[in-house]
Amino acid sequence: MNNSERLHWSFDYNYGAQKPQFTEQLVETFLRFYAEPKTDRISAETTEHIYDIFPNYWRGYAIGEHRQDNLSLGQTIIKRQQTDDAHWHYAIEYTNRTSGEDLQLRFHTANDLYRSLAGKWYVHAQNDCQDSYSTFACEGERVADEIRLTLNHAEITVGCIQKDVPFTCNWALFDVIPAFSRTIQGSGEVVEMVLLEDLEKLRPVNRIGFLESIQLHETQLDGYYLYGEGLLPSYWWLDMHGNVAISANFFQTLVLREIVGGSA
Amino acid sequence: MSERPNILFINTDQQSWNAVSAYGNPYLHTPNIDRLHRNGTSFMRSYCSDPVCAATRSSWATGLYTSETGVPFNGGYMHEEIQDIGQVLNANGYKAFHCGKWHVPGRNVRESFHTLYYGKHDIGAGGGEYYDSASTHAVIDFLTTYDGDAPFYLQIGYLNPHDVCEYLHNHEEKRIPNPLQQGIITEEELPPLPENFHYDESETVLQQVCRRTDDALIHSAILNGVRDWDEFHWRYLIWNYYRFIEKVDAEIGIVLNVLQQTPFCDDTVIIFSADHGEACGSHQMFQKFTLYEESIRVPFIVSCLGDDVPVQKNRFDREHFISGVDLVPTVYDYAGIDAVDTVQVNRCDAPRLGGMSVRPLAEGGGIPWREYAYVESNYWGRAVVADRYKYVTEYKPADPEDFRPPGPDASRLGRAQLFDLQEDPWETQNLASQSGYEDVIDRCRANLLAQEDRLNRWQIEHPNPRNVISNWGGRLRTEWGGLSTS
Repeated sequence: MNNSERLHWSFDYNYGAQKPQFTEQLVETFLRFYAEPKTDRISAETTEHIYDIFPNYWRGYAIGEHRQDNLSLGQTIIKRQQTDDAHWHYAIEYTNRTSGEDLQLRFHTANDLYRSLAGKWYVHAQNDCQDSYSTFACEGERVADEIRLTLNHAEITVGCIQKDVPFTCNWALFDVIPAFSRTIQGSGEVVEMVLLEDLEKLRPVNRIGFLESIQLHETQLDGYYLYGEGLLPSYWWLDMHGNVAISANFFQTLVLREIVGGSA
Repeated sequence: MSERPNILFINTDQQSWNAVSAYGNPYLHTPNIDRLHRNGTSFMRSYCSDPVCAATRSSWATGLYTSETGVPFNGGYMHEEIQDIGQVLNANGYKAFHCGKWHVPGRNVRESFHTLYYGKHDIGAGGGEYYDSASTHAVIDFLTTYDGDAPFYLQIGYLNPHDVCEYLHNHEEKRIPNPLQQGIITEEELPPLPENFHYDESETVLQQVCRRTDDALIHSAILNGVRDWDEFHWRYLIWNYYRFIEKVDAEIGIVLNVLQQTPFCDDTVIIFSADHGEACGSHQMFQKFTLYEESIRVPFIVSCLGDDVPVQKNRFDREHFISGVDLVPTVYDYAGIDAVDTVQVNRCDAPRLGGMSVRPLAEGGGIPWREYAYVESNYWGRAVVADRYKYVTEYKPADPEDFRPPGPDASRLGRAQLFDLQEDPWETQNLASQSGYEDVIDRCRANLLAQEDRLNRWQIEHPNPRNVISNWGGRLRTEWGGLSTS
């Protein structure tokens, strides 16, 4: 791996002489997965995409733990299962050594292109820092137009959305963007939706559009952007099988490390 | 009214006073900070004590100016003799909690406060993306379970919008294509360039050495990375900055919503502020570390979601000059603690709290108040902001360095800037060298020296800040030496 190689600007977070190098680590994970030829969708009851989390930030602030041999700060597992013809169930596990907080998110969606949130959803956070905060629980549901959350025992309304407005969770975008990819790429149009970030924060105005296609070590990737109110731009790179290979938001880049059960 | 209300101090990091939608900024949406304003009084002339994180936070912790705390810049080290707000409150019938960013070098937050959450590896300067949501969770955990007999003081240190610094670091070595040209964003969405995009080339030597030269003392890699930015890049920086503020606003919203569902809602006074601002392209500058308004002027709101704490609601106070040193006396006033007794030191020249309680103003009362705000920056930099005129100046470094924060010493004052904030709120015309303003400058200088005469500027003893002072002072002496021979 040549450290002078420049990645695409949307996920290029190399900083000078910092070690280990972001480029080297990202490409190593990427190539480990894409070295083997991938097949098209495999029928499986449950599919898991597992991502390494790499830090996008300048380490002069010494945020978190940085090992000499591995830049990865943790991992994200996106597990989804089609429960019936009309619904999917998602289970997200987000583990990041920097914050000390592990997140587990559970939600159901409709079997539509937007993976619209359906029924109740749940967040459970576990904190292993030395301070008093240890666990957090959130249960949410949409009641008519209202988005209601029960946070520990406090019931709050985080906002309202109209019934016919597409509404999903940011973690479902790993399937939403592939579902819309051909439409967006071909037409130049954007797809708009309301997002419930981490199942807690309502982001009412968001759009997804096509960015460009690139080659990363002989693998073609198609890029999409997500822009919205209350969100920093994020960039999503899909392989030819519709897997999100790289998802770069402002502070971290997720790189696909493993698929269990076939590509979604 | 509760005699000893709970006190919630919510602070953001690097938020300028004008980055709030309730104050008329159409380029961002802050419904939750707006809610604090609707339920309280916004002080529109609020200034930090020093426009950098650690320094101003040392004022929040002590009620002292940064030349008194031992933390006159990020690499400072708090004088161990000074009591902090957590220690004082815990010793006076309150239970003091901390959550999120602290960033006061030399003071262990876990020894002064009951900490709810302080990160896996101790939160440093940045990282809102990772820490802010966890901080909110920790606060919810606290608000939904606290059953102590004592009233609480809880300070929540959110990191955003400080992550805009990461945005800038990202540009040290790379360029992003213009999203306007790519059709990702529209012209209408981008805020305009600030009216004061161009800058005064007769700035202080300190400002030039710290922020303008290729080998600037502070974040020169960013400076050189943004040198060839065009108009779009600066506007896109502002656009991104506002998204960071919207992110933290959502966190604040969850806290307020949960507070409203707890028994504490009615008798909790909420103070909201930021440690310093963000230049965001004004004066072709980024981040803080300067004495321009965007860097030193911050929001300051005293609010209560309920009715038990008397606060004038939905009101702007455009008259009174608030300082970062006012937080401590304000909190002590609400807590019923005599502020005079709180600074315990083992020296005869014990510092006095420089601030004043804002509480009477928040309640709508009129009391004698200061006529100007005094701000320090980068150890040698000083500003006095008065009703009409703003005076910015610097001290020349001592030779040899005595490691005692400078002032009051008219003989060591260096260059100056003078702005007429009534006629020139964007600080584009430096009047310092124009004839007819000699008397104004004399008055400003007299105010500066009088203010500094009331400070107790102890010698800095810790080796880390001494190294910074030596290194920076050396550069400044070289620069001044060059100026005197040219």
